[in-house]
Amino acid sequence: MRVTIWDLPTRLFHWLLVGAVGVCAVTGLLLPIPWLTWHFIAGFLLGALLLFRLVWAVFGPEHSRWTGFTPSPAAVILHLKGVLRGHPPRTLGHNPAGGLMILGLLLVLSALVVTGLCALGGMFKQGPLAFALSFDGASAIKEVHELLAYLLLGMAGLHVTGVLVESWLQRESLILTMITGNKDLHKGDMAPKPRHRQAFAAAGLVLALGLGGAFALSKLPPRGWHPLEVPVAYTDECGSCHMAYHPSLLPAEAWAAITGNLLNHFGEDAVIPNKVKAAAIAEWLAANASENWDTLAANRLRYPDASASRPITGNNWWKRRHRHIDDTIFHQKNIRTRSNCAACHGDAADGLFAPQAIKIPKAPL
Amino acid sequence: MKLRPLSTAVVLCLLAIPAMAGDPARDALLADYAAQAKRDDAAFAGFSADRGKLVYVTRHAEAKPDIQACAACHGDDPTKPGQSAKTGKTIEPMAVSANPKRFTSMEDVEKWFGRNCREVLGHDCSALEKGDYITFLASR
Repeated sequence: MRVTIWDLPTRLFHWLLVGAVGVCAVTGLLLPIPWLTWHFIAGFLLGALLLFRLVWAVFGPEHSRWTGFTPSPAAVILHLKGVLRGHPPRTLGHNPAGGLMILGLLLVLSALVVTGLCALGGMFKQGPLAFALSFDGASAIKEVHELLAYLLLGMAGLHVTGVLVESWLQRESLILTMITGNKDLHKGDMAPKPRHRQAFAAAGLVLALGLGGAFALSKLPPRGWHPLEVPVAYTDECGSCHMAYHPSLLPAEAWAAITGNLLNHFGEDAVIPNKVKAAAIAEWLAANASENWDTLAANRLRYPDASASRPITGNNWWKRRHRHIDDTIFHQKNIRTRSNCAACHGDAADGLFAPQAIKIPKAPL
Repeated sequence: MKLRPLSTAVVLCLLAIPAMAGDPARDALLADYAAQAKRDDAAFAGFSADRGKLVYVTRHAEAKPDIQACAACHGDDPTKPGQSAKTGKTIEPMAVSANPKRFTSMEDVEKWFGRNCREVLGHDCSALEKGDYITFLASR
């Protein structure tokens, strides 16, 4: 007799998870920065999937429950010994070693989602944790996020190896079981208990609370960034020749060096004859300089190699971040120069520089 | 058909009104430059759009490569927006017909002549050059 071991929600969870992890791995480890948009989307999907799985571990059908991934150490050792002899004891759901791996995978995945949200919040001032995290704290957590990512890849490899070995030893494809959900019931096997009647309601409730809470938190003002009212004099005077750079891009000292030498403004005469206006602009820039912000740009451009009135595009971090972009792109008619941040960064005027806002315009014909 | 000189003149004057009837601020500004031009040269007999066009298009080989003429950034057609050669920033059209705000603030006009005449022409512009230039762009 064939019985359903993995119900449809569990199977959907499994394969959506595989897809989301794949997208996260490729976009996080291999592709250029603008692809992080998809990393974030897949990461949020991962978070929702894990919330669902938490519910299913309590309300799901028998083999999806916690007991399946919390074997006793003795059972795990017994099973591994069986594998070594080539005759592991048969289990309908997770075998003890596999179950332990599932527990590990779920824990590491949860940690990846949490550390990812921390990094997103503190470094890009986005998402549910943007209100709480500093840039420096988030940068440190991002290192942990990366280590966890490599750990997860290793564990996923072990998981697949285990599945293949077990499938061979048991003469029954576990991969196929995760697709169809069914197994033949052998003599002595017990028909699995079905999921709880309220399982879907519980999952819906937890997902609504979790995602709703995350959405509500993401509406809180981010730590270290605020909307800034730009004085007309600034957009009129500075913004008439180049983009009106957000004052968070340079420290007060660097702004003073620039406003103090407009006669030679990166090779141009940019003197503002109206002294009152010039003073008001200098004062506003100093008062809103990078010391007052905790954004990516404010932090990365703040360090000593951005001192004095050297151009932002000469900063080492800036150069590293843009090293894959060809000169011909910078010289495109609709970009013209490296200093034209706003040509590609849709949110440059706000000083945010989010990966999602990057769009390199096509060269005009 | 034989045109009667008087009515022809009247019609031409009426047609000319929209072009001539500038913004009072621009008229005052031009009057200022005219007075200066008169002081510079007693023989001054009014601004000329044709001379102004020459100021606009003339190339100055000694200036930096990308900015050897007003037209380099402001465009060959002043009724169209221009683009800064250095920063890529869009510059609103210079022609008054396309951008009626042009040449209505002495502070702005003097600022830009001050910066750009030295950069492009290599010298401070005379009142005659400024007046001609504005007259040219007011006629476009």
